[in-house]
Amino acid sequence: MSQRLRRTTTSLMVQFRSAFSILSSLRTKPVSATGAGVIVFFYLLAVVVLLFGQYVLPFNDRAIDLAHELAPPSLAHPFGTDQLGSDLFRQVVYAIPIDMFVPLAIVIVALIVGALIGTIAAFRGGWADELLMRITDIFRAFPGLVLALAIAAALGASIANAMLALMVVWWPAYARIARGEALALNSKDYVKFSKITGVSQRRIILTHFFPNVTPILIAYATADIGTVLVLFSVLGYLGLGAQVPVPEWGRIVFTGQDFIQQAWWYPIFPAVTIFVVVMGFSLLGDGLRDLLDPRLKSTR
Amino acid sequence: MRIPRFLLVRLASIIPVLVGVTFLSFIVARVMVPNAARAWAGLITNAAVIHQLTVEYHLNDPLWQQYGYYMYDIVTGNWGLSPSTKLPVLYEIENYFPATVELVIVASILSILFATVFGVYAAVKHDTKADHAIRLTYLSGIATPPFLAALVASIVFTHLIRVFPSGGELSPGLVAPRITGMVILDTLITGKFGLFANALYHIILPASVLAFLGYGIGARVLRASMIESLNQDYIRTARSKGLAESRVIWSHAFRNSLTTATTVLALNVSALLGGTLVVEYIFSWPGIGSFAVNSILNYDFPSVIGTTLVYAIGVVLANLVADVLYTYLDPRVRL
Repeated sequence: MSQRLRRTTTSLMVQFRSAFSILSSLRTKPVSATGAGVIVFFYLLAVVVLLFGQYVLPFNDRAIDLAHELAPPSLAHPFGTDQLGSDLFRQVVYAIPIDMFVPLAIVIVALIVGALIGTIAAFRGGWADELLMRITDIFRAFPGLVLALAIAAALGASIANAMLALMVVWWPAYARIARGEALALNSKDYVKFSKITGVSQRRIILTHFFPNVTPILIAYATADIGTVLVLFSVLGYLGLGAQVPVPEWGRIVFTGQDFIQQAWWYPIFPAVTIFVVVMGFSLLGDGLRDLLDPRLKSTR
Repeated sequence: MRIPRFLLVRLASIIPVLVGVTFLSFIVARVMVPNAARAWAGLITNAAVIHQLTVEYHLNDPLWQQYGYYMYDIVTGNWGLSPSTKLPVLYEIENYFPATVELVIVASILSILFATVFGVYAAVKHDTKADHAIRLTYLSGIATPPFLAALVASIVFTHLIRVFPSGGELSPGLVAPRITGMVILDTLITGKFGLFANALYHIILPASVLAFLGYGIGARVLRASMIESLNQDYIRTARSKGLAESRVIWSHAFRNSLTTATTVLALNVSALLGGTLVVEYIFSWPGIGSFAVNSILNYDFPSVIGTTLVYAIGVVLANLVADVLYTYLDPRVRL
């Protein structure tokens, strides 16, 4: 048991190290490094808000201050106030943990499920592979947002259900990538050798396939969190995510857009916050893609 | 001779995907929902109505039998009754669908235009300041949440500087003859050029917003593919023959990147269709995007499922078109 545990941890460490080496070569790309900086900053903020929020920036979501309703941005209210006089900056800050961690969780689950299913399909081949490809074809027939909306609407409006809906929609993409990477491994001599010498399937998958497939998936996933954040915020916008009084960026935009003519800042600041974070992920992802795409590498 | 046979094979391959799509929609509509009858009734909580729905859709039968009834209903066009508008869902969709097709076609044309110009230019100027600036522009398109783009466009162009109308397909009071349901096409066919101009004027802003959100993927792939093409030997040959640089870029390198571009086109349609939800809603565009959003906001579950199916069928058809184009552009595929 302990030996197996050690083997798993070693294999995990190898994967993280190769993912890390990809990430650290970003130093040569200042724009992507800036993107990484923005993301790290927001995740640190998320942790700070979760742990010390009320000490640093006290926030009472039921505070109604009608004397300051729809107040424009000022030093006291950097993002202005909403129709009840509540500070929008605080609402946006208090939404950071949900909007940063939920997409992360969705992508992690999609990655693990996709990696498992994709690798097994490629390793087994035959009908298992065929079945998987047909299933991913079906998922690819839907615009991700539309299917996620339908599932979230079916399950009922809540953050947990929005999360679940996006996980269901998101894993097939990872399964496809994992399958593609794993198929290339099938023809490697050391894999063939392991198969011939009767090494168990599970062991081949754990020692040869996972360590090779996951670094690429992790690099892809890093950029993907931004895409998922946009979808999650649209779900929130349509009322299928966070419910009042829990602050969430997409939802603030939705309530704010009715006041856009008197108070442009109300929907715009939370929407721009989403943009800044997703841009961070995009810049990072663009750099990673260049590093991973051999076609582009050869031209440098 | 070859193309028709290819088309038949490709058409036949759609059928299992469509069966899968309807199966997945059945799972969402009947299995994932905690209480299907209540969901089907929307905001109506009357026990008699719910009982009637349970009987009508056989909701107490075993799931495999429900699936049979569900498929029968889908195929025969009984997509349920919208609890919020009291009209058949399929009727509503037929009503709203043409406007979305029209919007997506115009947005696709614009996004292909943006993607081609930016992607090719960035590849030609590879690794210069212009390249980096273009990459930032299309990355920001990808990173913009749809409601931000739509809201900013609507404040700037319909309130601050009133150059565009704030929404709708035509100015209030104007009515276009309905033949296909696509206003631009219908006004053109019937020769009503005043209305045609008005319709064009209304579609520019929402279509541009959609195109801005969607052209990034195309620009990125075209850029990568063009960089690869420009490094090939035949480009060196073409240049050493003394051909004009524009000729080298467009008729040699770009021609070879076109196949990549068509694949992206199909991907793009899926992304554009996803974007129609919020963009149509904010610009009050009478398409299935705003119909879907209103259905969600009104707890109108039958309409949500119906629009989801239509979106999937739209993507499948777009993929088919892209595949046919691909075959036409790249003769190697036909072999």
